[in-house]
Amino acid sequence: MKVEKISLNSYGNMPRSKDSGGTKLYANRALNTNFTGGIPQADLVKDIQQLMPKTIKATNRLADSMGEIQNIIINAVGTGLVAPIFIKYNPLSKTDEDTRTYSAWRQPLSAVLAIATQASMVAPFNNLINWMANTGKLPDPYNKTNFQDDKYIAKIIKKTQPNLSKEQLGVAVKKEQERQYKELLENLRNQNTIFIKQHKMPSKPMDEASYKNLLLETVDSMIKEDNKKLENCGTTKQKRAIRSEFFRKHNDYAKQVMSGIQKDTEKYATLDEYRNYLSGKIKSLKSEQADQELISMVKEIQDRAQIKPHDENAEKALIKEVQNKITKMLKQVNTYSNILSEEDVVKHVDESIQTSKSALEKSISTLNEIKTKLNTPDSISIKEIEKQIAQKLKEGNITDECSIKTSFATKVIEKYKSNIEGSLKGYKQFTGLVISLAVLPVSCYLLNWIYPSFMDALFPNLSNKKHDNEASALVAKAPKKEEV
Amino acid sequence: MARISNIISNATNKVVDYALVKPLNKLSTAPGMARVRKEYCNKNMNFINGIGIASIVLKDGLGCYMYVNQSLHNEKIPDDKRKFVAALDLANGGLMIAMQILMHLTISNKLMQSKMFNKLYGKYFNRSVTKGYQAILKNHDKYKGMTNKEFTDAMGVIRGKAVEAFSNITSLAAATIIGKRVIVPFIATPLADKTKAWMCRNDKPAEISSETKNTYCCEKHNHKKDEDETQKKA
Repeated sequence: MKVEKISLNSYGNMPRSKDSGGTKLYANRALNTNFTGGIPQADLVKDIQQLMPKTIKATNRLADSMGEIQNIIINAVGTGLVAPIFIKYNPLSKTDEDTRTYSAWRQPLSAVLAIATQASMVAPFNNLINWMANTGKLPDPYNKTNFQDDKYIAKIIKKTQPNLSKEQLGVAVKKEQERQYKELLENLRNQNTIFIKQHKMPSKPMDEASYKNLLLETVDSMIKEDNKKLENCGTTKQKRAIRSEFFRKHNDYAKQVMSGIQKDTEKYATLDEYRNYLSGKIKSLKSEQADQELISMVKEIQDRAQIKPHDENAEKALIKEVQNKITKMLKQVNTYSNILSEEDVVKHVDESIQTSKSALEKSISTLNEIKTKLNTPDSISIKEIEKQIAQKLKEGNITDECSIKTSFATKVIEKYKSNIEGSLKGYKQFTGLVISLAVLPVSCYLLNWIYPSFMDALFPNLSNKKHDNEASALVAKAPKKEEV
Repeated sequence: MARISNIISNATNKVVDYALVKPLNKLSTAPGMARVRKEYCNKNMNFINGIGIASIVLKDGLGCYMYVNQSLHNEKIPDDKRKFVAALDLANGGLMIAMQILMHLTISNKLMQSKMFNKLYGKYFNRSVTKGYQAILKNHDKYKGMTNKEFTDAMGVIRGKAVEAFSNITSLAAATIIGKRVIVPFIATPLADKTKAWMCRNDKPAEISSETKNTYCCEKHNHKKDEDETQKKA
């Protein structure tokens, strides 16, 4: 397959601006200016995943690649490994064991053939689709030219700079991805559009209807996010009320336990020591039949200590986090030492919840205003939306959890990327299904052809045929003419 | 030499373009793709898992028809086993399709999924653990200025992906392993006996090939036969 040469420094096929008489390139003015997009989410996600257990890493890798091939493999596992057992050892069947064994052997053969024929056909098609998406050979909803895959970028760089080491290549790939991200962000803010690069064609701005739809979808997803948090406020309130009431009722005991933990852990230098101490503490609290709320408080500290750090710095950071949590909990206990009645507790909790509740409501109403403006024929640009959000943030009372705290342009990019990735996933699944169905007759034919021969060769007793050597043994055993 | 390789490369590219790229392009805009795209973009897990199951069910349906047809006409399979193999295929096919749809409807249920996910993966995403990750990242220069919102959003993405993969795998495993391969054979094998009997209702008694060595409870049968003969004699 051909990988075309693309200059990594500038895209020569960038569109020419209408307002500058068709001479100025968008790319020239957009790059590396006023970049305030925060931390690219993809980087953050990658780095957090590095800290997480292998189970999560594996699951998330699967989520990225889940499609028809995984379907075929899971199906084959069931067919090849589980089905034969349940066919052969089925106590409900009245058919003789030989016939059941004969039928059971068909399953693993069928599984191997399914993987060999179907998966081996779907995999190259998936690679082809990826290549087409990265080069801009697919229609806009599947076009990945604005955030190309690591592998694809690496392949292009290798073509132009074959002597780069693995590390240098990694840095170059990251740099190129950052460049693409910044370009997207700047085009959104300055040109109020997304430029889509197409294979051997000049870049073109996303069509107006799709762009407007993308902005509306972004606003909707932000409203949904805030609404979900608003709903959770109820649960948070309930949880806080239970803990606060515990602090009020058993203030001295809670203070004593938490101060004890703080004093005992002062001498520990490693996370292992913290872990051992905290699990011992939980055990002793359980044996003392301490209040469940107190046990879950210690468990919250223990959960932080349970993380396996990858280096010394990470261990130090975790120890600091554990110590901070203990101090914070002690502070909370102290807050409730002067609150005497249950009503006061409820009032206190209400006040603390109310702040985030009203912030979320304000965020939702701002987003609804933006949505209304987007739906008018004049619409508004991303710059104007960000200006309006900045104004609301200036007015104050917007907490960190509100979705408008994240830059709107960044949110649009996230939505754009997730839409394209989702579309590609659906497309691959659909193509995989078509290919699997097309290959199925071949698998069936092969199975029907191989299965009897396979059984004849390996289990002649189950089929009617005998092995050559077995047949000759029978001939040898047979009475000779003279003997008869 | 270089010219020949150029000609070959150009010809290959043209073949790839006409035989694969263009049809794939057409397929990407086929009717129904807009709906598929929309549901995948909205991460509608019920739809996504449903597509996975539909794919398997469709293949099972087509496979069942072909297997039954081929088994019935496959002269390489011994006569006395041919109808049972075909009957097993037919019973299996029908039941597999029904069972997979049923398993998908139960396992893919949102409430069921969220309960299973929280039980198995909840500990990796609880607030205390995520605070630990945040503390480690904040220790790096790159993430010194990271806001709470940026961190929780990224955690949300990771959780979303884990939910997606978990839901996909459990739905498929329940349908294709438990439903199709554990439950179905239990029902299908006895059902195959009945299907075979129905298929053979007009047949003359089949002769069992003299070379087929039946190992099924031979001793028990012989013993019973001897007992019967002794009883008759008596």
